[in-house]
Amino acid sequence: MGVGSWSQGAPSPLVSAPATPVSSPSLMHVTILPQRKQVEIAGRRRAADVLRELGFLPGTAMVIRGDLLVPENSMLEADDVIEVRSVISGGAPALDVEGLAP
Amino acid sequence: MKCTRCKAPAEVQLRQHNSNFCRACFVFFFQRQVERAIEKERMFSLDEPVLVAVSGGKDSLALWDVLIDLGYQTTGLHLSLGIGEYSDASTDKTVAFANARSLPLITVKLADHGLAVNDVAGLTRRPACSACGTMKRHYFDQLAVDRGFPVVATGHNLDDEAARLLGNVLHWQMPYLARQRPVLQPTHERFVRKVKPLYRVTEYEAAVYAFMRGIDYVVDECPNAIGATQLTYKDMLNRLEATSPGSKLIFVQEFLQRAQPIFAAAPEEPPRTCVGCGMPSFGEMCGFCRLVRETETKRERRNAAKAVQ
Repeated sequence: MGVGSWSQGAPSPLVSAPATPVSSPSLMHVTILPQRKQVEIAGRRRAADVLRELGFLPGTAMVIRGDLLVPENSMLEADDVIEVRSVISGGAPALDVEGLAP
Repeated sequence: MKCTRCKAPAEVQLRQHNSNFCRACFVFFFQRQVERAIEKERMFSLDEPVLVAVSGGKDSLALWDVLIDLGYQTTGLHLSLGIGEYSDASTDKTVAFANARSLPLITVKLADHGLAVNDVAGLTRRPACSACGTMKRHYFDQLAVDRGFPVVATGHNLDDEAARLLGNVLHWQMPYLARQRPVLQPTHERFVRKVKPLYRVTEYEAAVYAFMRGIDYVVDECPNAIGATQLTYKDMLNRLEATSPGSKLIFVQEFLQRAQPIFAAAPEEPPRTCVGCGMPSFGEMCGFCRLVRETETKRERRNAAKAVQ
């Protein structure tokens, strides 16, 4: 999982991965959190496809457009500006509070 | 795509429940899931003061938000861990959440006790997550009992529980399997009840709830968690979930119903009392006191070496 971990055979959707925001009107602009990485994707497609192409498994990231979430089955337009926010956190056993771990 | 419940445009799709929800219906669904968990497992009542362990992340702040909305008496407990800017941001978010809602919050800064996680891990050469977990357990337990709270609630979600279960099964950790429940009853006079009201909701659902409720949580991942085994287990489980939605829920629920009672039936030695701090311990001295001693010893040695130079 994670940005850059492409599944085998999946075509890269990235037109570019600039360090600063870009302004091309015909590309989907994606900000990936928490990495704060910005990428551009060409063409409209389902949110689920964007997540898959960015290397996220279903249910591991939210797709946010403006103030709203985008369901994974919904379409994103070619010129959308979206945020893909990972929801995975961890580090156990630090999170456990069972009290008597050796 | 329409909301399964009210037919308004849906904002979220939950494959494991074969449902889509608009914002209002998802918030209702999420809160009902938590409420059912609390009631079904008899975690606590409306009359009991609940100490909520809050990190500043999505899970614990979502939990606190739900408990307030459901009318429970809550006090937040936040440990400022001493993990650089990550901890500073976590504390800021937690304090802002509490202040905006006029909620009582207890904040403990580990650095004030000479126990900042990064310092302790560096001095003792222990994995940071291990040192962090030991200190969290100690302070949660001790503060709860010292302040008179009968119950501590944590933001562990379904993904946390499934990953933990997978790890415990892979290593056949029998005592841990015996204690992996959403409610842990105290086995020592200085333990309080520990509960996990989010154990039925996924990490994704907790994040969606936090987003929809406008909760400003720490999005950044703990820098010490990079490469943590739990993340590997979560990834494996999410791959399974992708091809078979509902797998995580079935894994945990069926364990709790069918297998956990068998592990719990095995006789378990009750904890002793730590000679250092008076908290429960399996040995003469608890893990926290051993960690503190080791930290102090190594700090003294380091300072002495510096003085010589």
